[in-house]
Parts: sequence; C-alpha cells; structure tokens
Amino acid sequence: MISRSDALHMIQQTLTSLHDSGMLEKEVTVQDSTPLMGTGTSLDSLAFVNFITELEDRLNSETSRDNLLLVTEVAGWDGSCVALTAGALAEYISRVTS
Amino acid sequence: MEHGYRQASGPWVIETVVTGGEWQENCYIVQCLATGEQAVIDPGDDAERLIGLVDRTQGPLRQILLTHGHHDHVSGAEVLCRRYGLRCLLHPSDARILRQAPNMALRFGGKRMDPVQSYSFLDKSGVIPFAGREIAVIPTPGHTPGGVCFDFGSCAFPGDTILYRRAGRADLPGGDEALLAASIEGIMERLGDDTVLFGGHGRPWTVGEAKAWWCSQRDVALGSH
Repeated sequence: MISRSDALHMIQQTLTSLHDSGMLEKEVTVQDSTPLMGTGTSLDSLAFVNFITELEDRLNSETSRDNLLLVTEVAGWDGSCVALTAGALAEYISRVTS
Repeated sequence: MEHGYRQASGPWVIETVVTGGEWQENCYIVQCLATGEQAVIDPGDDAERLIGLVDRTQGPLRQILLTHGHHDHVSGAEVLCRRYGLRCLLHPSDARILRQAPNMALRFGGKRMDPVQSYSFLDKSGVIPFAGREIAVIPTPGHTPGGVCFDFGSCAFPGDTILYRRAGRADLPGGDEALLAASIEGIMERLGDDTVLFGGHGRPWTVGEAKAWWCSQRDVALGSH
C-alpha cells in the first residue's frame, strides 16, 4: 500500500523529473491543493499524459504490480469540470494500491 | 442519419466517417463487395452513429480493428463491441495506451469515455481473417509502441503513422521518432504505389504520392511537431 504522504512524495518526484527533462517549464512544489488539471495547472495536455505515465511507472516499481490510474475514478471527480488536485490524486493512489 | 463518404477500392467499399469534435478523426467501415461482411477500423467516437451506419448496410460486422490505442481512435469501441458481441483487436504493445485512453480523452478532449474492456490482442500470425481473405497486419511502432497498418490489398489503414502530407506525431508517451520514420518507410516498401492509404485524420492518398512527398519532406516532416 502507498500512503497518502508517500503518494504526494511520488507526485512531487514525478513533477520534478518532468521539469528536469524540460517538459515542465516551471518547477512545481506540491501541496494538497496543487492543481494538476484545470485552472491554474502548470501541466499542459502533453505534460499531463506524460505525468500520469511516469507516475504509473513509479507506482509499478514501488508496488511490483501493474497499476492503472484513471482520473475519472478519482473520488470527488463528478465530470462537471475537468479539474484534479495533487491531494485528490494522492488519496486515490492510496486507495487503489491498498 | 448523417452518412459517411463511400468509395470503392478493389473488392471493398470504404465508408469514411469523420467522428469526434476537436480531433476530427477518421473511422472507416470496410465492406466486402462479394460477401457484404463489414469491418470497422478505429471507432473514435459517435458510436451510435456508427452503429446506425453498420446496421443500414445490413452485412454482418465481423471485425473491429484498432490501428493504435489513442483515445481519439477508440472512444466508440466499447459500445460497438457490446452491441455486436465482438472484441476489438489491437497490438499488445498498445495495451497500456488503450487503458490510459480515458485520461487522454479527458485531458485532450475534455470528454469522458468508457474504458475499452472488450479487446483481444492481434496474434503473431501477421494476418486477420476477414471475408474469406487474409488482411495483413504491418507493425508500425513510432506514433505509439503498438501501432499497426492494416493492409487490405487495394487499400491500407496506417492510423496516425502517416497522414496526408504529414508524419504522425511522436511526442506522446511511447512515441519514438526514429521508429516512426522506419515504420513510414516500411509501409512504403511493402505496399504498392497504387495502394490507397486511408489515414487516421485527413484525406486519403496513394502510396506513390506518399513516397514522392516523403522523399522531399522527410526531415521537415519529422521535425514539425
């Protein structure tokens, strides 16, 4: 199982990696409220799909199993807006890896 | 019901249906003139509309084929699979991209799509039986790891590997520009000049036209994304 705080740490590592590779222009310091999708996010569509892919790779390596992250299954995502925060994603990761 | 554009190609009738909104992807309904059997290639969206077109033509739907797993080419697949009791076919190397398609649909298109669950992998034989013939499957990694081109003889469906006067993009997860170039060249080596390429977006053109363009524009095309 990945704890919520570990998940947030992985999200931070992934965003830092994207920044180091040049895919993210600005460095992002992750907090619960950091937007990953929607208003205020630093991730364009290309960066976002790369972010999810790299985050899955990290999770797979950590848990030694095949994980699938589906944004549409994050708790609280109701389809009426396209938005996702780091905190909500960390909560979801903790749930799907338990 | 809005019809697609139908044209004959050898033993087939090809109906081009532009689906979706922002991406305007091509879905193709291929019907065998002799048997009436149908195949759907890349049902990107508008599943109910596609069902209406397939049912109107009255031949049995035998295959649902995916050139690759990106959301704009698979969003309608699950609904079609359930409606006709079929499993769509794709290359195993695109399984992950197919599973991630709902994320891409949301982020790129702002749309919610049903995950595609009714799928099987293309086997290693390199052919698909359809309407008493064998459809060749040409692996074309580069746009995605498991991209393929379906070769129907008189026509072929390369997905987003090569589009009209444009190479596919290689900057999405799993993309590889060198592999993409090799795949484009592989398509041109393997298919005859008169074969019509029906790409994932845009208008069709012949392999001969594509070769002439590729020879003069290769470096520009690969650097354009």
